[in-house]
This record gives sequence, C-alpha cells and structure tokens, in this order.
Amino acid sequence: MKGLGAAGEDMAVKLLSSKGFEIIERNFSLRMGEIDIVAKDGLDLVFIEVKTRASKEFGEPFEAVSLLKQKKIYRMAEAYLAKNPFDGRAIRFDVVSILLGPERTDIEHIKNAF
Amino acid sequence: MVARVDSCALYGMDANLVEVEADLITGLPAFTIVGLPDAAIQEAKERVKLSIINSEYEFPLKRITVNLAPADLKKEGPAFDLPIALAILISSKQLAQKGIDRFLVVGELSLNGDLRPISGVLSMAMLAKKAGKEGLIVPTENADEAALMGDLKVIAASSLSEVVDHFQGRVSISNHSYSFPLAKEEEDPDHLDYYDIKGQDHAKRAVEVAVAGGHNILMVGPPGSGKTMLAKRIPTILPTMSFEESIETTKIYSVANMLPSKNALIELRPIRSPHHTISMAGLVGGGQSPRPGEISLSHNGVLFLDEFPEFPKSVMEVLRQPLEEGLVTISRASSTLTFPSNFMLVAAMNPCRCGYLGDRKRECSCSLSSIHQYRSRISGPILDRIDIQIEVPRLTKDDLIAERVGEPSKEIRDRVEKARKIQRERFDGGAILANANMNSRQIKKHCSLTAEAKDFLDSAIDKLGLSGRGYDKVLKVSRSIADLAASEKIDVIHLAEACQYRCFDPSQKI
Repeated sequence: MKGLGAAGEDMAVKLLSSKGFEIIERNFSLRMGEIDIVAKDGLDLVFIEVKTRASKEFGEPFEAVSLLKQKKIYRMAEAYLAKNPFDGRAIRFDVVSILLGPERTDIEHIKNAF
Repeated sequence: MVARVDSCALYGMDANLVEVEADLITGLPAFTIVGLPDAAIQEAKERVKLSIINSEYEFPLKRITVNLAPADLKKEGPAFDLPIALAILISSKQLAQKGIDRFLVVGELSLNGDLRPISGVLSMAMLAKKAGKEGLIVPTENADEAALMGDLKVIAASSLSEVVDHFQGRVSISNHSYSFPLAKEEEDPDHLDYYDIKGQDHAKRAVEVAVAGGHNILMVGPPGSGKTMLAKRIPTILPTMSFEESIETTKIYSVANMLPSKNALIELRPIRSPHHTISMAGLVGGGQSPRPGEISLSHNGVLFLDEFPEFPKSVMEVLRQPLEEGLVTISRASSTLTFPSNFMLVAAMNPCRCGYLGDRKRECSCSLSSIHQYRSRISGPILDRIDIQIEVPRLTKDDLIAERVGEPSKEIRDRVEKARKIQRERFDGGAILANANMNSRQIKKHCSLTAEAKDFLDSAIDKLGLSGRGYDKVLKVSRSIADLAASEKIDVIHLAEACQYRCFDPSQKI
C-alpha cells in the first residue's frame, strides 16, 4: 500500500505542474535526509517540502514544518547545489500542505515559506 | 497591513512612549518580536497566542513580526501583552485600526484572555497626558491609579475581548473616574498614637521639634526604652500630605509595584524601617534596570534606621547625597536615573555595644575603646546631617506603673502644622520648605535673637565648645522651637532647649 506521504507528494506534483513548475527531481535523498521535490519556477529554483495529514487534530499540516525540519531542508539544499550548480535568479523554499481527510481534501501552496 | 498600537515602557520613574507595530506575511507560522525585548516580552508570545485563541479570535497562521519602536530602548515587563495582541488582531483585520491610536494601551494577559494589573500605571498616565493622548486603556485593577491624573479618558477592561468589543462598538466601557474617599478619621484599633507612650516627655518633645522643622533625629538609649515606639509613631504627627506630595509618593510605589490594592492614592506619609542587613542597592535603589530603594519609598515620609551603627559603613555613607539634595542619582553603565528621596531620617542606637552605658540599673560591660569604636561607626559627615540627637533613658518604675497617658498625636500634629505654616510663609517662593534646609545665609537672615539670647549664645559657644557647624545647628533647631511657640525672635528658652539636643555631638565627652 502506498503511504499517505507518497499520495500527497503525487498530488503536490500535479498541482505544481499545473502551475507551470518544471519538476527536476523527486525524493532527492542523501544520508542526512530527503527533499521531496526540486523544481524550477521560471527563473527560480524551488525546494519543496510536502506535508500531508489525515486530520487537523494536531494543527494544520504546514505547522508541522518545524524549525529543525527547516534547517535540515536548508542543509539538504546546500548539498543539492554542490552537486548541481545553479545559475538562475533566486533560490526559494516552498511548502505544500495537504489535508487528506475522509470527507475533504485541502491543498495549499505556501510560496517562500521560510 | 501594518498595525500600530501605542504603549509605553517604564524607565526609572518615567514612562517612555513605545510604538508596537505588527505585520503579517505569508510563510510558515512564526512569531518574532524585535526591538530589544526582555525575557518577559519574549514570553508574551505564548500568552498573546493563547489569549487570542481562548477569546475566540483567530490567531493568524502566518509569519508575524512585532516591532517595538524606538529600537534602541530596552523594553521589559508584561505590560506589552495587550498592545501586542491588539496589533495582531488589527493586522489580521479582525479589528479596525481606527480610534485605537488615540489611546495608550497597557496590560498583562493571562492565558484565558483576562487582563492582569501591571506596575507604574501612574507614570504611564502622566506620559499619556504629555503625549497628548485622549486616554489610556488599562486593566481594571489599575483604573483608579490611571484616573488620578484627571483629564484623561480611562478605559478599564477586564479582558482582551472587552477591549475589542469596546472598539467594535458592541459594548461601550464608560470612562473610569477616581472618587476620592471621604475624609474619615482613622478608627483602626491598631492605629498608632503617641497617646500610648508612657513618660519619655523629653524624647516626645524632641521628636515634635524635629518634625516641626524637618530635622533628622538620632535617638540613643538602652534596649527597651521605647525608641522604636517613638519612631513608629512619627508619621502620625507629620503634617498631612498635599495632593502633589501624595502623587509623588504614589508614583514611586506604583513603579516599585508596591501600591496597596485597595487605595490607589497614598495619603498617609510612609514610614520604612529596613533591617540593618540591607544592601546598598536595597537602600538607595538599583538593579539592572534600577528600581527605587527604601530611601525613595520613604519619600515625603520617614526612614527609620534602627540599630544605626550596625548598618554597613558603605550603606550609611550613600545616605549623604539624598540627605543633602532630597534625591538620589543611580548611575549604571547603561543609564543614569534619578529617584526622589526627600525623607526625614530617624535613627536609633544603643549608647554602646552592650547597650547599658549610662543606664540607671545595669552596669555597662564595655571597655572604653569598644565604646569609642562603636560610636565611631557613625561618621562625622552623617552626624552633621542629624540636627537633633537625644538620649532616651530607661523608664523609671514610677513611669511604668503610672496611669498617666500621653498627649494624643492629633494635638501634637496641630502644633506641627502651625509651625510648618510659619515656615512656608517665611520661605515663600524659595527652594526650601523647612528650617532644617536653611543654609548659613538664610540662618543669618531668619534667626534673629533677642539681646538676652545673644548673651546666652556667647557663653554657650565657650562652654559647649560649639564649632561653626554646631553653632548653625543650634540656631536651626532653636528656630523650629521658636516657631512652635509662634515667637518671631529666638529667645533664651528656645536656645537653651536646642542646646540639649546634641548629646551625640563629636565635641561631647563620653
């Protein structure tokens, strides 16, 4: 069975592609962690963290992107850039927050989240 | 949208205007406060967040930045909770900006959105008036204090939602005004009065003279002779406080967060009696962000130092500036502050280390050198500032069993008030208010002697070995005695009495 997280990531990719993002890489992983999606939005390189939750009981999904997690993604981005030099305009971090409930599905894209 | 709510930060005795700005931007939820906040303000985040949620408003899940301007002023304390909460509600469009900027907003929030009282509200009300604000929004408990200033609209709220409802026009909080309590004679059974003191007529008289002329006084006597009783009752014979004096003293107590909860205005002169283990900072004020010390808390009242020689030398010597100028300046690396400290010093001590030198019943067991050492702990410069020094001997058996009661404080106070009135007229428009503050030129001008008094003084100078300063002191004290007798010139009897009040003078032999 495919996990909740993976299902969310598929939804996120669909959403981003429809917004004109060019997906470069999915699940870029190293020993220290993983970046869910690396994409290009026009001239910007975007690292995207996807958070999927089945309910709001413990807050909005995006509230779960803690400071520690942000730092981790930041370091991963540095590692990615070391391997894949980038000469575009700017580097950005986005969050896609997905609520995958039994009745309804909310999807929210937060640009420049941190 | 950038929201702005005006608040203020206490800085020594005064409040400074602080603008609280808040703005929201999209991003992961975060809450940052900038502008040199202290730990209590950093913690405001949690209080503000929960009180907004518990008051059933929405706490924006965005990146919130709160700025406290001016950025270079250190801010501290929980008074910013309410302005921060309001600024967040405004920036998230749950409340309109309009109208709020006419007010100064202060208050601590509890987690359920209730407002808690804060300190220094009187100073804040003064700032609001100076800054041309229409009014002040304060927690209910502080309302009386804020209303003391008059001319200000005081909106007293008990919770965050009350403030919001008021500005949204759902409920209207009416202007709080201070009602002065009706003048009432104190009928407290524990109420202190000179009436309770048996005997010691000489000491009581000396205290009366000291109070009449604003002189500092030192009482020397064996344990149990009633020095403390005498001192504790001094406030009952001090002239009643003027409104300005009450405001000054209230402001100090408000800043020190020591205002009694039931009455906002301090109308009885304070008496402070710190223990001799007090530190320098405790006495004159201090701390990282300086707070008023005991000498400021006794502003317009009495500072009673029992066991005077036991106070550390360093602590005793810092009294010099306040005794001279009626204020104290505290300099720290970060700031220099001034607190008012115009008090009457009442000191008490034993005549020697064992306490029984000169006692009628018990023999003193101290050596001459130990007596000398004990007394020399009080330095010349401090003694110079104490005009009246008296002995308070042990009560005799007759005094103890006598049914006779003393004179009630009220009668003494009436005489004191009369003497003070004479002095006010004498120094009309001048910088000083009482005889004790006269300088040599004023002494020359105001202490005219009768012919006999001049002769008396001549021989007194020789016999008592009066120094220049001792001479001035005798004249100042006799001026107060003459004022009590409503006599324009100083007569022999006044001088003779003044000469008795110098038992501890350096020229006196043990």
